[in-house]
Amino acid sequence: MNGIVLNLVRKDLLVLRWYYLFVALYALLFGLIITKGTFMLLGALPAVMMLVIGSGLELKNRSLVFIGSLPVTRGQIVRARYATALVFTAAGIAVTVIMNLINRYALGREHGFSGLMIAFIIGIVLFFSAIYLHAYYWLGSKGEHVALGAALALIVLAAFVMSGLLGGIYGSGYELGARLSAWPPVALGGLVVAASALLFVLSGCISYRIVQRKDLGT
Amino acid sequence: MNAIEVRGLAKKHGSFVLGTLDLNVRQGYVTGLVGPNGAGKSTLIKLLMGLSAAGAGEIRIFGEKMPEQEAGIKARIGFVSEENTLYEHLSIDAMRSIYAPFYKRWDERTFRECLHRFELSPRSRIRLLSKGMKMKLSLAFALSGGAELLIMDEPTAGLDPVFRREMLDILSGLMLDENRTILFSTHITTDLDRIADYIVFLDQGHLVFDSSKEDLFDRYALIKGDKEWLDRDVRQAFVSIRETGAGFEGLVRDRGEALRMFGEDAIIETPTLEDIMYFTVRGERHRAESRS
Repeated sequence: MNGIVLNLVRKDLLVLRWYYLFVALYALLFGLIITKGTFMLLGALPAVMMLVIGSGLELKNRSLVFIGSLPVTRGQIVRARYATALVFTAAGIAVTVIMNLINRYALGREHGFSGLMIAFIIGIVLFFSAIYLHAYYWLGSKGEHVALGAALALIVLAAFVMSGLLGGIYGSGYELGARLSAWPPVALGGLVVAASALLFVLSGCISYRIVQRKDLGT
Repeated sequence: MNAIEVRGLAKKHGSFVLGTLDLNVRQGYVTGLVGPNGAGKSTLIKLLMGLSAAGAGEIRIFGEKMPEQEAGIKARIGFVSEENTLYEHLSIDAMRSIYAPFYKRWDERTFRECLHRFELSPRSRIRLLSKGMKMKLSLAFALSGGAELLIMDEPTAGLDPVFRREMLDILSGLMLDENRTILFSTHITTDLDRIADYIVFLDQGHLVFDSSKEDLFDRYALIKGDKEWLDRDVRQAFVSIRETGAGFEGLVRDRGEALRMFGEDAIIETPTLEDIMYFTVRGERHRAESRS
């Protein structure tokens, strides 16, 4: 990753400034107070929220015109946005881990936290980012709400499916989950991460091609 | 030497077609891009900035090809858009911390001087600035990045006369640096009367002329006279004519020919840019109606 892409990622992070407070409040509320059955979404939603809010701010301020006027290429703009999604994914995982540690060691509560859950969080966020960012670059400002609606519906669906699978693995969810429980967790987690990462990379490549031909800020 | 060279440029956007355009922006001068609303000024600027993808043709800036060399080229350009595209919820200082790292030649001292001169506080939230102040802020950013070429899309649109005049004074001051080039679009021709050296005139996506202001004022003439003189041959000498109860006024492209045609009988004046724009657009529309 070159310096220009890093500067663009830095921009995406700085632009959110005060919005991190919402994420912190969300994490406190659903990580410490209302904790029942929410741990997977606890990690995934902050990442998704940051991605959506950042893109929303860009559309609201017509900032793609500003970004496009900087000494950057269109390829760098797309690469940076996908790299930012990875940073948000890492932040989501960090929130989950921190909240789990607080619950376990400070409050003495157990939440069935596992490496597989982390893999599923990565899967959900990369899956969402792949769909949302692709639609964002394809439909632009006119279709941003459609993109957001579709991506959110998919993420909720994905979260339910993955919760069901996790439940199955731990004895209370889908039959498929029960069957998957025979798999080593590392293999199952690896499969989820690899599949979502493949979709994410594919989405990035298609978005890159779209942005090469597209008028920025429309 | 040209800062910008455009050859065979074309762009289709819905039913609007820009081009085919060939034009130059001379280095070290102020070039005004003028034309009525919808003429294609903003589309051309977006193409120059790499914000829009061209359908055909070639753009060279500082001799380098766009968009192939766009990052290197844009590092030497300061862009000021008509609408604010900065993040409104941020303070000026926060915006600076985002903007500055992209420019190797960023000059913090220039930025602070600009803020001081434009009476902008680094702590001010961009959302709370007036349109004129936002325009000044955009200019401060553009100048502090060490821009050799300023591309400005309607920088004076929507500003009150005092602010507009002040902005033009700032731009005039910038031209004391002989290496700096300014291209700015406007439909307010009096702005160009004040500071432009060259005029590029677009109408309905087509280039009407790309010429120095002096040359335009030497060539074009505004003729006022009696309607009785307007026979078929005389009418053809005009770009277009406006007839009133008292007589007529019309624009000719060749002052010398007008002098030969009317001698001292008619009033022959030097037109303003607004006259040239008005009569040219009117003539084009009239000819288009006649054809259809």
